Amino acid sequence: MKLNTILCVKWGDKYDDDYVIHLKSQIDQNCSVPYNFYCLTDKPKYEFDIQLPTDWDKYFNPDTNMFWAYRKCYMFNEKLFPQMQGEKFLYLDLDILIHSELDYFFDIRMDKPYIVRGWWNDIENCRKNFGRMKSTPLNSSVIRWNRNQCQTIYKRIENNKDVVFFTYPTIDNYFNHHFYNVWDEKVSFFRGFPQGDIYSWYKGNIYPDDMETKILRKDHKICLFNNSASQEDKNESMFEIKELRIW
Amino acid sequence: MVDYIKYTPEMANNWSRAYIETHRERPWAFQRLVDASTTSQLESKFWLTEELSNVNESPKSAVLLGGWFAHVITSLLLDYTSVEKVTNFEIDEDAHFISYKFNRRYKKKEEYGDAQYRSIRRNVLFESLKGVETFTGDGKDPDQFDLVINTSCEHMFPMWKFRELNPQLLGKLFVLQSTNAREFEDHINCVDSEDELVDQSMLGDILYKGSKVLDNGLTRFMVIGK
Repeated sequence: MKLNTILCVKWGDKYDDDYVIHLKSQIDQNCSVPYNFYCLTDKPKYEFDIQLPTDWDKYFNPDTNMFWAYRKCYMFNEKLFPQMQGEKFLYLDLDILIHSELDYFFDIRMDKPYIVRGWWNDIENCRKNFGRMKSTPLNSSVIRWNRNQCQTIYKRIENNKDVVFFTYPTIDNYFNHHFYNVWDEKVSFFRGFPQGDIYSWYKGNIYPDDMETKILRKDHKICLFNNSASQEDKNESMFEIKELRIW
Repeated sequence: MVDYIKYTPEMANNWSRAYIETHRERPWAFQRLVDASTTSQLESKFWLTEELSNVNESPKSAVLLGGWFAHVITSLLLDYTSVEKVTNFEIDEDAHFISYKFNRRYKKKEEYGDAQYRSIRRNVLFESLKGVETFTGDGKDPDQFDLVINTSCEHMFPMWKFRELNPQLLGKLFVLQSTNAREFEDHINCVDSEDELVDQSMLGDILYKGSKVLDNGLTRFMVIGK
């Protein structure tokens, strides 16, 4: 049985099948350890697809769009997906660029699960805006956990669905308020991936010294395409960016 | 009529030090201190204190839900009403620590007895107040609070949920404020009238309800009831 599992989640129409195929292709090129691959999706089609539950759909209000991307949080309850094998889980967003070996993520110390700590954020701004549900330093584009390690995230949503879907604009806000401490990162449930691992195409790398946007940093492991403030960029597909046609 | 704060030398000492220390230790939070000290902030707290004094109740131990820096409201409650102790439940660590700076004079003193102010970091919509220790730290008394104040209902899930989480507060006095100002993205739960605020909280016995246009032009609604 393979211990390492790489997951993605796909729903709705924002991303088409090409994104999953390209992600799988990038993983094949950049992972030398045996791994399981699954795509949790609302429309299963390929052998690696697993049907997403719909239990929380009725709590989502499309008018407010609050707690958007909630479907990602099903994956933390592995019991929902009995066919999903493995002990070491690595979640990847569909719109990422992998620069180097993913084996690294399966060898890191796992006393805590990991999430992207957006080092491009000004942490003082994150603290200032904590109560306003803005400026979270976390980004859920890459998450690493061991089986059962993140069940508490699922359970807290399940036990407080009405409040969670009403209160948090995104799952990153929810993680920031319940599973991270923006004033003392050492006592957090999550640990952030260290500086030098993951950066953002639209937001930069490390605040305030390395904030140039729209450049590739191939000495890093993963490039994210998390939302830009600019509407023009928001409408951009990563496949349209010429610098990224490197796979 | 409640229309001023009793700005005593002790308060002046606490407040000026709170501003200086925040500027030095948590500069990112300084602008928020200014935001919490506007004309409108004072107006809404004076209004609350005035109406609370007018209802025929004598609560002793107040809870503030998301009380922020709790500087104005704590002094008003302790100076103008029957309230003797104030517990602020706040999720924001900066507000939690800064509120202690503003309210230093209310911490435990040998000559005055127990503390009168404390702040606890807790998300009150996920965790009940049942397990909160008493001020003296000698146990957990679920009946220790008899007044709940929330002056920022627009930032939170409707108050019926808090009441459901805290059945021990059934029959206790609630003072709730909210607004119809939907232009702020963190106002996730605005209401259009004091009656809607009553409906959201599922309070049965209404002792006061009203609205007030504040200096900033925004309307606030307030309900006092059980």
